[in-house]
Amino acid sequence: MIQNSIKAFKAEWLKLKGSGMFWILLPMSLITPLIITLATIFGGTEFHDVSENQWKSFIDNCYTSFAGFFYPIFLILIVVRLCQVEHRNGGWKLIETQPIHRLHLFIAKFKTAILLSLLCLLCLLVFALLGATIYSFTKGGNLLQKQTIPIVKILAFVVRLWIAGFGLMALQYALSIWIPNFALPFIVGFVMIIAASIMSAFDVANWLPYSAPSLTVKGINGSIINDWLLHHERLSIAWMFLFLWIGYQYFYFKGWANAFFKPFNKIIKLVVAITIFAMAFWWIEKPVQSKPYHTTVVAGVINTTDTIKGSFVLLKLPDLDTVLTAPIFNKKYHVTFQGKLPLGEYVVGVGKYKFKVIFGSNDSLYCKWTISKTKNSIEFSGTRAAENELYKSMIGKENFDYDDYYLKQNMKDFKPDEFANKIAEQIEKLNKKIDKFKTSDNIKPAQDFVAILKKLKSIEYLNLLQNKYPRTFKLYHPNQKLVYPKEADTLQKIITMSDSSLLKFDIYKTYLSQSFRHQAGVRPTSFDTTFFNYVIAFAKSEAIKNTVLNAEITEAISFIKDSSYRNYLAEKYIPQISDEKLRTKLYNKNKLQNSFQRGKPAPFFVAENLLGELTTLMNFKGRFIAIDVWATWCGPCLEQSPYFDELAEKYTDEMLAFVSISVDEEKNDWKRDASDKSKNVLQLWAINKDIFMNAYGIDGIPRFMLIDPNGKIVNINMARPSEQEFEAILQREVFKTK
Amino acid sequence: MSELLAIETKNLNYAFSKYRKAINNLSLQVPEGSIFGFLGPNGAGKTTTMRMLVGMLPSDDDNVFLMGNSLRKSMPQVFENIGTLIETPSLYLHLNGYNNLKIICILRGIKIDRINATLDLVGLLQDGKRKVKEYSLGMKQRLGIAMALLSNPKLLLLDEPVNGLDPAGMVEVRELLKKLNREHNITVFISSHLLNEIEKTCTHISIIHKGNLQYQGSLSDLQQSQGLAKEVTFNVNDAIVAEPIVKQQFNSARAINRNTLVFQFEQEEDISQINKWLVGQGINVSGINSKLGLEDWFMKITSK
Repeated sequence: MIQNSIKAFKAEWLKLKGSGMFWILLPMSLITPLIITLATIFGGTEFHDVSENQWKSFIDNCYTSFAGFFYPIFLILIVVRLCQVEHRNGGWKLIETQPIHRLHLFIAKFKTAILLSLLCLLCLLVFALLGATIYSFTKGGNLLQKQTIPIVKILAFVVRLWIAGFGLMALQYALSIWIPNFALPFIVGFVMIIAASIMSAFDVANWLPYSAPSLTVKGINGSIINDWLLHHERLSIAWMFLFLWIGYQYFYFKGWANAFFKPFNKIIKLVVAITIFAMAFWWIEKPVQSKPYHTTVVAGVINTTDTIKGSFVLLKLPDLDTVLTAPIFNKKYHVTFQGKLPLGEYVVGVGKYKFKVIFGSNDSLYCKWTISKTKNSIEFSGTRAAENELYKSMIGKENFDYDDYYLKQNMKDFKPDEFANKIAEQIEKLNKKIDKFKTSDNIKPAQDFVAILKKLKSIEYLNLLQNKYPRTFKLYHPNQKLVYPKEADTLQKIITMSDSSLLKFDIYKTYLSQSFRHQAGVRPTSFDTTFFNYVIAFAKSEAIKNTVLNAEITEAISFIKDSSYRNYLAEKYIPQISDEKLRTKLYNKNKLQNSFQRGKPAPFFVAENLLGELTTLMNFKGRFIAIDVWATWCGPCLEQSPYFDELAEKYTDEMLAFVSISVDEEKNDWKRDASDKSKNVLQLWAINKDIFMNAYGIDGIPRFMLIDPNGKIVNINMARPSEQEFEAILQREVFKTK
Repeated sequence: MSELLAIETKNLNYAFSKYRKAINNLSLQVPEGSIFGFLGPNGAGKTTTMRMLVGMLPSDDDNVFLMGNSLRKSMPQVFENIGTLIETPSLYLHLNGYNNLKIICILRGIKIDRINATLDLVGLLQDGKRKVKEYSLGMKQRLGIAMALLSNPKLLLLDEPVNGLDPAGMVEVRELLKKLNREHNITVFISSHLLNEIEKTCTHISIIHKGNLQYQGSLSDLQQSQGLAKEVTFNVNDAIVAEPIVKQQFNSARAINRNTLVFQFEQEEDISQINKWLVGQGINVSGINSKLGLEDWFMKITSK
């Protein structure tokens, strides 16, 4: 039995001699590595994504451009060619009159085909490695030399791509055995590849075996839940069995009629086979839903060459209260949590790196951090993997929708009923998109989250319907009353003003504030007392009232420059919040804000100058100091610094010093860039930037401040030096001229 | 029937379509050790029968037996003792002759050194390393025969084996088959549309026409059962002139062309009698040929 299958395979392999198969294989596997090597060397294509392993990104690139089109074409070519060898000169009747079972003959040919496909993928790997090596000796490639080749990862991908081709090959094999000419099976395959890639773009019929290789390169890093194969790769194996069986029946019984319909009860065999396949299909393609975990767990690994300072934290929004912390050992952490956490947006943080995450109690969350000079990213897996992926794709910036854009830009062109219809359509479309979503592992987000996300996405449109469109309408039709059709009522009911499941999301909080303002009849950005009173009177629940007041008072404290009004609001409305923790926070925030008032002592800080000497506020006693808070990685800061330097040239004297304080994490980064700056500006580096920034209430840079000769605050948040106002303040405050 | 049958079919039927039956109740009995000629005009169903004999066309019933075994039940092991050449030789044109044979060696588990011996046997030893693409029609035919012979089969199924061969090649193949039959007791089943060919090689014969078996039996039985007269031809210098004179002496004599007189005879001695008489009459005899009167008979049964 085994011997016979070996014999059949050996004979097949001998037939490859002089068949030209290797002359198809070599150019096919050479084409994309060659193009990509040339493009990187001569075309200036560079890998910006330096946090990735360079070998891997080079090789991934080669495979990505190969697998969508060239690879399926190659597979079809070899299968058709292998069958042509027999069709052309009556090879079938030769091999079928040998004492080898037809099953072995049939399988041997398929084995040859899949072996050739593996060979092609491996040749491509060799060429890609060669290309990357050549590239590494040219300009941009020295990074390659420093890194090791992640060969196991790459081979795992190659094997997956190989398997993804099985279904397609078996289908084409059955087709090529049936149709004796070369052109027809090839054309059918070619058309199907194109059709599948078009349908794939519309997310239709992704289950076709022709789509599998391109799906594999889409999920080039494989399963995020540590499965060996992605679902479409398992499906490819199921397709392979189905078409091998069908093809073999045709081959063995010499014709469709004999295989399945003669005698007629053979059709049962076909029905059974198709049923088995259908069940396998259902089982493989059935979306998985993560079950809640028995406890709440957060773990992670940090992939970085830097040393990580501090521990892991999970923070609650909006005030970034710490929910739990975990020490980091060997760049790993693991922690369980006992209490209850509502499902919502949280923040995970390691050192200064922070990312938002969808999380709740009874979830397991695994974070894979990648931290480097140029790119910081995080990948989530665990029970909320699908939710996080969906949330990112629906809420993220990259999510551009043309209808959406058109709707927002051309509000004035719509009649009220048209507009309401459009909004309904848009919400419907998004709901469908959310319902359809699956990860590459075929995981569907849980219903609790789907319901929340649908509402969150609807909010944006309801906002248009309830707030923005009415204002536009009033502008263009001042004398008409806006009347929406009856159907719009159902839309408005999607979101209530008391949905506690949404309270963990900023979008809902913003919506609440806007709606309250709209209902109270005040301007969208107003901190009018009418608004606060309205919230207190009409909030449907204590939680809603607390949340909105907390958010709005926080905003008010940061934005209102008039300190008497700010203090008035704080005194009047903070006591209305029933949560004591929130109240305390708000009082402290307001107190801090008050401490930055003109005439209050400037907070103490310690910094280091370029000579390594410690410098504090005391060093400047007797002089005004204009301070620029910046960092080397901050673009807007670098834009401002020439203006600051210029003013330093002009105004530095015994009365006034110009100081730049860097809040860079790395001292050397600061040293490198600071030494190039104007000699009139004293360059300092904040020794503990967190303490420094907290003390001065700095939540964004660049920040410009002016402190008087007695160490008292003149202006804690000045205009930027590029604006006239900056110079005006200096003249007014320091030189007392008007 | 005491003799063992190398091939037996029982009421073999095949239809390409509902209305056109290619083979109709064909029952063949091919005795072991025979050279069996399977004769029929083009389109008689010869190749269809051959294809059914090797299972390339499936039969609805279990009615083909090779070496005493049901084909359906003993496929593919039954092929261990069978060499086939059906229609045109099945060759891999992109390989050389040697590798074509090597494929058979691999599939049948034959020692590689048989290849050169077999190539030698069919006269292709010089051309073993050439690609089959470059072979002439005759060379391909010979390679096809070599592939059938490679495993020393007990039964050879050959479809038009001398097709495309030159006269010398024809003789060689013919002698080769006779020799294999004689020395190794190989049963040979040959299909052909050439009466001449069959007559010169075969011990047994069957005739098929429009899918129906017309005759089956040994060549020696043929004459008696069909009442065929034995005929002898004499090549003479002027047959037309001689005919009336000869006719007075030998009633059966007739001239079939300018140089040939045909006589019927009963016994071998009659031939020398005729010869003596002709020479005595001063008629120059340049050749004598005896044969069965198959042609007329063949024409008769295949023109129905």
